[in-house]
Amino acid sequence: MEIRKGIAVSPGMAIAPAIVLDSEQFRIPRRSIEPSEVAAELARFQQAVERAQAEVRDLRERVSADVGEKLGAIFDVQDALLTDAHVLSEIRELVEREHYAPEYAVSTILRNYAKKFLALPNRYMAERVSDVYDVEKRLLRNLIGAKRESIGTLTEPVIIIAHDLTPSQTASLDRSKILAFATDIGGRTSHTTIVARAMGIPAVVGLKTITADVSGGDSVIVDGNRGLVIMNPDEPTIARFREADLRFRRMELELGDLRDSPAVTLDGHETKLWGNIEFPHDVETCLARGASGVGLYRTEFLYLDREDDPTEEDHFQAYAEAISLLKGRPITIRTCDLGADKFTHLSGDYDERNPFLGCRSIRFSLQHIGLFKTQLRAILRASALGPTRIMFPLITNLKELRQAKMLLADVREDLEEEGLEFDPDIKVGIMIEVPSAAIMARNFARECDFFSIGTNDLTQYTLAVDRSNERVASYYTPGHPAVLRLIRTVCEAALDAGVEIAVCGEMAGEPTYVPVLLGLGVHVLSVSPATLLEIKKMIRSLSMDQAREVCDKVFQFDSDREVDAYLAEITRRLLPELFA
Amino acid sequence: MHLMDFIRTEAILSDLKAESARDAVDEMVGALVKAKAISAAERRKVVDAIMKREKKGTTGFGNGVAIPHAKHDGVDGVVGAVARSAAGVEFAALDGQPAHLFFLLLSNPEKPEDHLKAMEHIFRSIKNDNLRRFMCQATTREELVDLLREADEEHG
Repeated sequence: MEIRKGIAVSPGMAIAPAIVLDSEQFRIPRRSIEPSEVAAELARFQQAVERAQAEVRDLRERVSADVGEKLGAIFDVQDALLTDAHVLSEIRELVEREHYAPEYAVSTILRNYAKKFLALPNRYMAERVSDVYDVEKRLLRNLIGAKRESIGTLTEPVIIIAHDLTPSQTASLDRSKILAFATDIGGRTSHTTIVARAMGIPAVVGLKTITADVSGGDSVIVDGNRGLVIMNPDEPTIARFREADLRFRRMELELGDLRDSPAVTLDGHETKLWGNIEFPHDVETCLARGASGVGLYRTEFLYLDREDDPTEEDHFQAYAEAISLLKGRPITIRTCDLGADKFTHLSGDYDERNPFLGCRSIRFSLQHIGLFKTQLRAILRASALGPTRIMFPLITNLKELRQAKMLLADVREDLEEEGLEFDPDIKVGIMIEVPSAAIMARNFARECDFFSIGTNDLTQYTLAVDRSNERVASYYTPGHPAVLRLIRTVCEAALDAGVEIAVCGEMAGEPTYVPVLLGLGVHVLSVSPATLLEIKKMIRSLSMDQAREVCDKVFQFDSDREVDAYLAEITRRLLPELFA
Repeated sequence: MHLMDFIRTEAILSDLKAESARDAVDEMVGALVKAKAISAAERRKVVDAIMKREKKGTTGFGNGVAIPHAKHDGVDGVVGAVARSAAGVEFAALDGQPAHLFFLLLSNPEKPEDHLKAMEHIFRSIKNDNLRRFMCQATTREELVDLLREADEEHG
């Protein structure tokens, strides 16, 4: 049994056999074999080794002929591994004595070597780890061959282990069979995190070497509450896990009763509790967990992982599906937020030293008007199908908002001329996620129908913290008085102008911040589906008087420590079961 | 594409006389007629189209800038006029301030790409506060042309 600690990004716990994904998405089942099969399996393994050796020598020769003997030598390491008597006998032993299937034996032994390579102080040797993975892939390809199974057709529940999930991998996943994710890299805003939260399954990221530590078929526990991954757990650990899991499920079940209850405070004040989505089908998860709308549809996935731009029809189909699943409930579609950590084939062209302060989001859209108008057309057309709102991200000054609105007016005119239907009263709002927009909220309120505060970026830009950088991540908290004051500024401006105010950042999904946000007069909390029920429970556990009282008190503190400690205390009092 | 590729030098007006939005648009469209970018017979129709677009949402961005525009099949690709008004024109701007600097665009509906590129160039140029300020202060066509050419050089 071994335990690894990473970053807990999506709550819950799961135990299942692991599938380790690499770029070729080999799936290695733990298939032990019958003693009678040992001889045949060893022969199969021998064949695979010989074919792999031939491949490597062939590659070596071709590269040597094309670009020279020196470069051909880069295949020597692989050749050495494939002919090393010790390595091969270790693999054979697992098949002979433990009755492992050769695929599993290859993966186990070679990943063990990969780990040893990685641990070498010599950087050159550590980098040879890619050769080890290459040899593993080569052998697996020869062993599994045509039998290679796609992860789109899983037959049993699994835990996915990957370096970092790519959008194409998540798109092809059979979601019904996946119990959890664990990845080498990533942070709270990475793709894996977002997908796990949307699916409502546990995930731990930033485990550094987990793809080398785990072999496909290993039994693995992912504890998304504490950020732990336990490999090949022993019996007592499994028992403890089952008990904790049961407790967690019981709470979920209890929360499940809340699904159809309204999000009202003890004194009858109603809050709109909406969900954040990435894909149209996420709407189902939101509704199953009691959301009454979608407050943030992130549309970046339409752009990612493809070599051309999405067409108007691609956009329209996605929006139409989400809108039809919502059956008359409102949806807020955010225009493309590319750049910084999400790139298309277009935005990736620029090498920016500081992408978070670079040409991202609305700035990118206003420099690629064609792309932007295509999306606006699709959103407008979709607005004929159900209540739809448009939201522009990362607005930093009024000019950007006005330019975006001018382009929207151009598109409306085009649609009118073409006789295409859209909602003529469609609401237009902005994300407030940059301090300049928060400070200027009164000016923006005159030209918007609604605000949605993106607390992740607002916190990062206000505190100058990149929270995926572990050396400074601890400075990141929306409980910092400066962040809270900016949020208060925005709320006051919105309330005075009669503009609806939403919070769609992760802060809205943290039960501890609910009293403050309600106390400030926030109308809409838009959260990841996984946290919907908890947040509803929190809303239903307090009165507006209490919320305002907490709010007043919070603004008397001058450090984030005091704020967060006080809010944790309040939450513990209001919702003791969350801390059980 | 550069600004000066679609802005007609003869349609750069350093001293717009008009006092109302419609007159301002008419004066710039008139300059495009003189520049032979469109025919005199189309002048009225073009002005109507631009004003109709303004009714759907002003292109007066505030900061004294407006970008009135319309589709017009009588032009080849996209053509533009630039005008500076010392007194300012009430253009229903979003900040309530009069417009002092105009970029007027006419684009062929069959060539939406040209229109998008021209608009991207204008957006990029008006981001530069100094350019905007200097253009508002310019008193001759030559000064305006120089400023536009400088902006073009800046963006390669």
